[in-house]
Amino acid sequence: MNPAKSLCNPRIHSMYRRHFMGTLGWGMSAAVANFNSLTGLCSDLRADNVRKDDKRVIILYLGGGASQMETWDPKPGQPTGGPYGAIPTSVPGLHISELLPRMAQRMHHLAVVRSVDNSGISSDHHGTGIHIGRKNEAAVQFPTLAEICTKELVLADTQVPPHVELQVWDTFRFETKHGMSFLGSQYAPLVLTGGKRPPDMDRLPAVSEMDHADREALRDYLSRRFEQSRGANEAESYSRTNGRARGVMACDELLDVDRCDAADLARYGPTPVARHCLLARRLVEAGVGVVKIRDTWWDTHGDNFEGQRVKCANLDHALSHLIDDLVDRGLMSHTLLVVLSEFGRTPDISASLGRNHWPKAWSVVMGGCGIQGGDLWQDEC
Amino acid sequence: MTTRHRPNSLVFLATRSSIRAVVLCWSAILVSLLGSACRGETSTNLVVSDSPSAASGTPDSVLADADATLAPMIDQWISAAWPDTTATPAPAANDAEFVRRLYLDLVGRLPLPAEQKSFLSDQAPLKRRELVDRLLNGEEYPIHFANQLTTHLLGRTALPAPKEWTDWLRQSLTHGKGWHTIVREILSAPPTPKDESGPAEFLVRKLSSNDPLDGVTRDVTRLFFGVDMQCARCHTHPEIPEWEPESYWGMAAFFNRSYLVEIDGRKVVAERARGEAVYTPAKSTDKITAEPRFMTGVVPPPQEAPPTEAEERINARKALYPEAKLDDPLLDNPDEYAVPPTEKPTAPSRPLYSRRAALIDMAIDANNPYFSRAIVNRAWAWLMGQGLVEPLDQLHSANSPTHPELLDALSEDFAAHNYDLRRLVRNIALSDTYQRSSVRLAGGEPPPRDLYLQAQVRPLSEYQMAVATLGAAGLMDGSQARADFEKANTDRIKELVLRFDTGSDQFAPSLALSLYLANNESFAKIIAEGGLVKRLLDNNDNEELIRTAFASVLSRAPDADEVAALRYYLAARSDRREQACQQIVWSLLTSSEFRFNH
Repeated sequence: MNPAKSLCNPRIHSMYRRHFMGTLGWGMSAAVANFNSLTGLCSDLRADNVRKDDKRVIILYLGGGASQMETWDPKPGQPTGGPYGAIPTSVPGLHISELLPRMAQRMHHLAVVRSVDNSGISSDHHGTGIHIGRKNEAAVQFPTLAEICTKELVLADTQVPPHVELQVWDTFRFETKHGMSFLGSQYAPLVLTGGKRPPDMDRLPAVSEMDHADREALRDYLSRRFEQSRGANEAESYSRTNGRARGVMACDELLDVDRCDAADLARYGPTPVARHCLLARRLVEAGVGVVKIRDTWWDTHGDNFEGQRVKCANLDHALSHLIDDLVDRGLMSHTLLVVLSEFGRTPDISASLGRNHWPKAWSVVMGGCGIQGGDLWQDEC
Repeated sequence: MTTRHRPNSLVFLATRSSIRAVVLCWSAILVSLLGSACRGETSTNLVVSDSPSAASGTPDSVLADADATLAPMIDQWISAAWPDTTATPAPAANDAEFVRRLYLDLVGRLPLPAEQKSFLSDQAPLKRRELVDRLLNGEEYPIHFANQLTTHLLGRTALPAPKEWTDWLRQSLTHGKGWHTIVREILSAPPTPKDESGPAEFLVRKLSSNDPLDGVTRDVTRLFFGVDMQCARCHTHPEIPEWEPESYWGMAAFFNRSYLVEIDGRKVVAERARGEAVYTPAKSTDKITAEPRFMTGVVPPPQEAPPTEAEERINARKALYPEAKLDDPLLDNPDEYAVPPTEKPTAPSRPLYSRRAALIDMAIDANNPYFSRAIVNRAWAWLMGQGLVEPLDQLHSANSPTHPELLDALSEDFAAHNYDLRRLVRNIALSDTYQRSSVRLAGGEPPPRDLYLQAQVRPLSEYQMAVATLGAAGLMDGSQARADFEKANTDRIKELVLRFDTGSDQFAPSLALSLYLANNESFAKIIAEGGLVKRLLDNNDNEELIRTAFASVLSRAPDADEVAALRYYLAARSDRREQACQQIVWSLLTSSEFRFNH
């Protein structure tokens, strides 16, 4: 049988032409061609790539519990205030801790909520209460805020992963691993830990690039025939997701902070939290819908003031650059930025100069996506 | 008890006689239409029957099979719901479609190429029925249905489960133990030697969770009675007024006295004679003591001699155990126990009056419609891709079945026939409804799923997917008994189950899985070492090679286009034939056709 004569299916024709009749090297199929545009996207990161009506979310999570007194809600001169002063900010009347001088100049981009009370939801680090916005229940795996955003933003068709979690450090003291939620695995984050890449990103040495691309085209061809005969949505979504694997692999560069622009790297500096803030900006620009940056080691039960001073210096630097970039690149209007912990820290200072867990009144800051910068929310008392 | 059930049950009872009448009437019509309507089956392998249809003297149909009278009834209730004008059902699935579907549903694996071949070439007119019976009576049905039930009861990623549980379930299914007996054994969880401790696994797991009472209450209610009442834990369900906190906590009160003790290094279920479930509803500060009652409001018969506080007996215990806290079972009155709690128990404590036993006696009963319906609905979903009630665990008054009479009739038949899962599965599998093609009907949008005009494309379970993947890659060749295959591949199966788990009962593809399939070494190894690639390389003829690959993985013959495309591919990669065969196997294993039952 001569296939070239016996076949009249246009798709087969194009498949032959593109796949098997080209040069000995591999011609790009329609599906593979998309990866070209993606590679383009990765190398040319501009805010224009984000569609205007698409909302994005960056959550910066200060694991362990940042102290509200040393960040957004200073109480200088009070018995509970600690050694640090408060400084005026770009918002008249709003003062924040002197540990955040760069942020003080940018507070007109952020709203501060000083009256967060999540007692009964999380009181220690073991729960995932603040991530899921409710009390843990043994029987139900509730989705995280980030997973809910991923679902609601409807990012199913992006070539880049819709939801990425950047774990700033390799090890997470006390952190409970968040299980798969009932929303399902398609909204779960692609996790990058300690600057490392996600698993299974590299083609196995035994599979050549040509074979890897060949089989993807074969899989696509076989699946499409099945789906055309059945018209089944679930089958199509399985194929679509499998088709994204090579896209994400092509996106490898995007996930590698070392490959960011040298000037950006210099500006953000070497601290892990800053490097991950830079990575988050880049991911959002490339179309990733939800990025959660998980910092940790804010749990200053002993020597709170030295601990928070060091953490705040890094936070001040990283967050201020992130905000500058979001503003300069026009991303602020459709990117929601949230900075939070699992709880705050006690007003009382312990004998070891520490502050313990305090879910009753602590601070969260938010900006972007139409949030009124400079707003202050607190209970008057 | 019957009279105390709420309207649901009364409706159920009232419809019984009318259903019977309809069934008889439909049977008569069917009998007169024999031959064409019933796939032209002829009179071999008959079972003599006293059912009305057989008595009418027309033996050559599925109706003549006394145990299959439900199958035509299923088809009648399904077609009765079709709109008069527009509904055209899909034709029957062809033999290749049917054989793959049936193997996956009844024994949880793909048919081997030799099994497909022999079925396709079989000329016997009743070959579909014979295959159904052969699979249901073989060694693999109990293995697969034990897996299905394990996933259902212990969780999606519980497989492979402990040996004692698996052995007990497989044994139970092999011997046709009724579902009522299986559940009774699970919920009574009596003390046994370790190798007979299988049924206790369920309660041991649920009582080991962080919040044991909630875990056990929610799961017992949801898994055995088809109702997830989680919201009623704090407040009355917004749409279902009968699910109020009393309903949830009434169920909890059957379990709050159950607890785990460790004996010989093994967790065992024990129960106390005392102790109440106390709750505070939302927006309230009241502390309410829950009365044990079934979720429908039915209460168990009162305890014959209610326990009395025997102060001196309790004081004696206090003296004996000065360290014990106030609510320790050790301080209970031992007169209320068959086996009282002790400090270093050799047997779990057993009260004279067991609340758990009260639930078992009351709820596992033909008059409790929830008990049969929950499992019937679940089994229907396993074979048909969706329940007659969806979601499967929302079997309540505000959520009607798509075919209420059918669910009633199947449940009633199930209860009347020793709660026999095999009979239920057999009848569903023998129905025309089950055996329709899944190929898209011509023109326009696919018809609504719940009309069952065509068979549904439904994802394989994690476990089916694991076994199918290993089997298709060549690790299953028919030389090994199924149980041995599962044992030999425990680690591989476990890994694949976890990889294909979506975290949800809904199908949800994930990028992590796609990357695993694309680049993970252990998945590549399954293909490289499975044996299929080697068998493909044995073919010098490319068309034979392609046919072998399709039969092994997709359980069908390739069409001309597919043969041509793959021949072209093999020709273009003739310099790397082994790699090319690996890529063909990979692409078939990761195709959507392989991922679904259709």
